[in-house]
Amino acid sequence: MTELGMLADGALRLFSQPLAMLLAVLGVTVGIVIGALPGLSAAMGVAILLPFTFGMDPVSGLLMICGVYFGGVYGGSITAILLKIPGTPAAAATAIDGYALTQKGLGGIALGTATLSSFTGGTISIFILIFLAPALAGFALRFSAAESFALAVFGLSIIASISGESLLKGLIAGFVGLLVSSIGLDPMGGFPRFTGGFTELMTVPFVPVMIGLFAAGEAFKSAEDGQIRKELKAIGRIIPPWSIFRKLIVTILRSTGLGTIIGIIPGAGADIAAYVAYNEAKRFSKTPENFGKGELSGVAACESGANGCTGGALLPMLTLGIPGDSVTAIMLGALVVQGLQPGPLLFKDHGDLVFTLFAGMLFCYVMILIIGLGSLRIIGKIVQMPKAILIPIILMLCVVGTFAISNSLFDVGIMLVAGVVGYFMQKWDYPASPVVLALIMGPMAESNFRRAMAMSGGSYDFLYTRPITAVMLLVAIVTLLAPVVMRMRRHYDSGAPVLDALP
Amino acid sequence: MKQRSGQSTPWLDRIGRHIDLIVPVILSLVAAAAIVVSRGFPKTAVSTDIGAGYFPSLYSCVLIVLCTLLATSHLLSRPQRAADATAQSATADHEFKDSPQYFKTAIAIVATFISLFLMPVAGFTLVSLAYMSGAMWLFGFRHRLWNPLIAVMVTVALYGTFAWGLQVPLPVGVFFE
Repeated sequence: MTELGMLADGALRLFSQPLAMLLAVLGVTVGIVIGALPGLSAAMGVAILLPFTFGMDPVSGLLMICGVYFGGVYGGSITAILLKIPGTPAAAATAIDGYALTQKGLGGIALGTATLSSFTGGTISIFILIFLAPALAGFALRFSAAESFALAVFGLSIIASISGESLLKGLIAGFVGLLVSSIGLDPMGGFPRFTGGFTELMTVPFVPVMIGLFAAGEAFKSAEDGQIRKELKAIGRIIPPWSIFRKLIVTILRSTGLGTIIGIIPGAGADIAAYVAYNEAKRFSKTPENFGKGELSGVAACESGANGCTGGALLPMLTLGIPGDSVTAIMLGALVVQGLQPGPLLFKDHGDLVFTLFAGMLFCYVMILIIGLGSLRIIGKIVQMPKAILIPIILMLCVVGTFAISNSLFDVGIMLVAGVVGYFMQKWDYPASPVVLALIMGPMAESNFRRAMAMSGGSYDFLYTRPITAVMLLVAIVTLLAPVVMRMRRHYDSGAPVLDALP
Repeated sequence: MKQRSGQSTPWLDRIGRHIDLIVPVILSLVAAAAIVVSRGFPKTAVSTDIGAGYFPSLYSCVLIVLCTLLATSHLLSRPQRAADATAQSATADHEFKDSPQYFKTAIAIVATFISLFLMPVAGFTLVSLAYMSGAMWLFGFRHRLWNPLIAVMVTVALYGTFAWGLQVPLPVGVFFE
């Protein structure tokens, strides 16, 4: 059966599950609000809502998470345009021209354009995901332990590109994550490692750690800042006239393509997609001098690029089990919690569920369009909620949500410790994403390496005699070293000491 | 509240200046301990298996190398940082800026841990009410009516969602069992 036929079947199955659709709507709504609230990211939203999905069936739970993810990426544009406070890092590029338009009294048109561009970008990227994913998953089905180990190493090599300012700190965070990932039962012999006698530590408690690092840590950091309040200007007309919007279509399609490709590249997220799309829109524009002064195509490019990234980012996560960024890493955790193993077998064993999810993702983007256009004025007021109320609510949600995972206060303790660690990591510029990536990929790397070793009779030759393994390890080395070389080259060109590029 | 940033939290600033030395030392000690403990992990029955301690030891060794690199680069850039710090303190004498409210974060962290320890005794409902009201007051939202009212609304919403909706047995406390 073709992908379109399976998608139609998936849509029929989705329509027979009204609860799943309702939860998707709820997820989109929560995601838009979380994305719009300054300081709260899509990753935080997904982490907070993760425990809610435990008692749900896989389609309902995963669609709610997808709704939060998509809504969160889109929601960041609202405060960026209205208040020049990007709700998410990806919306920082949107703020450049969006806020300038608001100051000209065209805030509504900017918001409407952002909503339509997000919908178009996101929907096209999900279609690309639908058509590319089965082919990629089919290829990955040929993988044995050696290839799976190389895949895990490739996943870990992304740490270099998500390290932020300091590569060394990113790598240190990654290796701390790997060390933490070895806590629990040894994957081959079942021997308890570093558990200190606590039975709760027999498996790596990565969901509490994720909630702590991303949600509680962010909340503790937000507690430091003062209140952010700006006067909201009048929004005015929201839907842009067709005569204006049709001139943006080429920009939206180009930015969507760029966003999807960037999303597929592990380590590159919506923020990079938004900036690249903005830059290309400016390059192709006949009036590049208007960019930064309130150019509508700047807003359209950023939003279609950022949302185009979502489908691209889900591709390696669903087909290969490699999370490209923190949000997809948490979503990978959500799949595992639902008893589903992301990777090629997901398409073979749960094909019906996957295509129901795809149909649900398209439904989420339709909801973004409807809820986005219908509630912009209300959300404009919600985003002014004082942090003094918001932070305690988030922290209490973290506590109750973590408790719900296994009804254990021990897990809540782990979450809080991770929250404190996450807070200090933010203060001292240690990125949290490598820790999560390592927690997920570490056990996969170890178990597959040891299995491959056993199959090759204790020889290391599987690392270079199997073509796919060798190529993936080579790509991993390039992925790991490329940011180092580029930084060193920049330092060399500027005349600074080359070794200063590392820290 | 306007404060001199240089005077508000001097000890934190001092720690912050040497954090790229303190963190690597602590992590190296943890990694060294992990290597020692890993040596006691047994091998499996599979003769070709590398053993349960191989990967933790490998991770720890790389971690120590990375920490050494970070600490070394911190020590090598010391004269430059001293010059930067002098320039910064000279600027701080003339400029006032909003100081981050570290103490609020510290109290929030301590209060959240206390809530965790109190939950089995006092139960989720009482702890949530007290925590929500207190935290809102701490972060600057101070209203005789709204504080307890929002705390009640949030607690009821959370209890309803988790205890009734998702069948999660939230702690009721020893007094209410």
